[in-house]
Amino acid sequence: MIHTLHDFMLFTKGQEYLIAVFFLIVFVVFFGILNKKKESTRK
Amino acid sequence: MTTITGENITFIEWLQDKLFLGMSFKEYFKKLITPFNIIATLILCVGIPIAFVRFTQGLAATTNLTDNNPWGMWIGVDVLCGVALAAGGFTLGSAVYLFGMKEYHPIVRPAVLTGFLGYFFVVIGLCFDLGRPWRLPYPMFVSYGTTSVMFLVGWHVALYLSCQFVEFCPALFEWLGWKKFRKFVVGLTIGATIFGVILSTLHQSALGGLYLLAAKKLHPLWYTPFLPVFFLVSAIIGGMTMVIFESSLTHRVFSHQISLDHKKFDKLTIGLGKAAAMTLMGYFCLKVIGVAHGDHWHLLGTPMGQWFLLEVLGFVLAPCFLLVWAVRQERAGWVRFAAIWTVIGLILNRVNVSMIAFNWNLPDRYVPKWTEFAVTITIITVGVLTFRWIVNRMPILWEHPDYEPEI
Repeated sequence: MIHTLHDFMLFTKGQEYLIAVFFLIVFVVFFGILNKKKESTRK
Repeated sequence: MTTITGENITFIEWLQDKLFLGMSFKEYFKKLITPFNIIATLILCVGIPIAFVRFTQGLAATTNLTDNNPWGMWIGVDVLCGVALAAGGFTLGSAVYLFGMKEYHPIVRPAVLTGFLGYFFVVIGLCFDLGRPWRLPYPMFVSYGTTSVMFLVGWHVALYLSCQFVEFCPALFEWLGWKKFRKFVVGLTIGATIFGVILSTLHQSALGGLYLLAAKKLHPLWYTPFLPVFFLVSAIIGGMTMVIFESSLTHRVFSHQISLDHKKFDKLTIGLGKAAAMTLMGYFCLKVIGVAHGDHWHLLGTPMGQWFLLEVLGFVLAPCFLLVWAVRQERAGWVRFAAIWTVIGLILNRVNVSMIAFNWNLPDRYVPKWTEFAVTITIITVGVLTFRWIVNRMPILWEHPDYEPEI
């Protein structure tokens, strides 16, 4: 039976989907940071 | 018979040239007396008698294994860690031969050799656990166990070892001067690499799949239906970081053999570090989803949960961030440090799955006997000695002048 939001999230696997979407965004940002070229220190 | 410079020589001279590096036996023997060799000899003096006792008296005489804990250090470290850390061969082989990343070609041969020797010594380690090594061909030809994951792992390791041998053969035949054989095996390289990638994908994950059978025995934070995926992804990380670690060691120890300049080598190290950082981040995301899938958040506050957090935050996320920083700052030295850190993390993960989190709730906890440590150290020592023996003789770190590169 679904009584709480927690039960609902477990039943629908919503928790995993939310985390997956969150990490999708994190991964894109991470990829951007990793590939950002080092700023030249020469002036 | 001819030498590398093309001189005609007798068979004895050829043997001397190939085996004793052109020295007389006396000279060669004198050169062998080094601190490293003395320590290695001492290790072998302890390990070989223990191996004899294991094969004559059985597991009870040399291990702390019980019916509750039938798999110990030889499976957890020698097999699980060995297979994962030998993944550099297939990772780099596919990058160079399949994806055309030719700039990594100078480090592909040492990676393939590490992979080949890694798998070979995994089989040796497995023999220590299984006993009766003459029965190794049984699952291949006599008694099929098609419903067992171990049947798959056994076949795959045997086939993959053959693939790695084919990939290693060009160096072997260049050393022996067998040009026709070399040409033939070079033609097989791409096929062997493709076959190797398929086999690796399946057996790396199958090793994780073995633990799916132990749902009640493995701690819930480590047990998840995603275990095969975790094992595969972490093996790719282990392969890349092991290549970084192994290539930085060989560049130090065999610097006289290497033609690649330091700047270029550092660039390759940073490239590998970048790939490892991305894979580590992906692995971390999967680990969090694994906890969410089982809804085991409440277990993170327990002592085992803190140990899990140490593994995931301290040995996955932390080296990942260090790699990102080192890659962005172009600090190859820090990439190497982070690679060693990651390798330790991978070993910790396999030890956790196979020993620490396995049967975690039983009063009868397994602690390896000193003889188990001795056998593992002996196997690693023999592996290092074999690697050095081959690198000192065959064109692993340098290009043979008589042959065109494979790609």
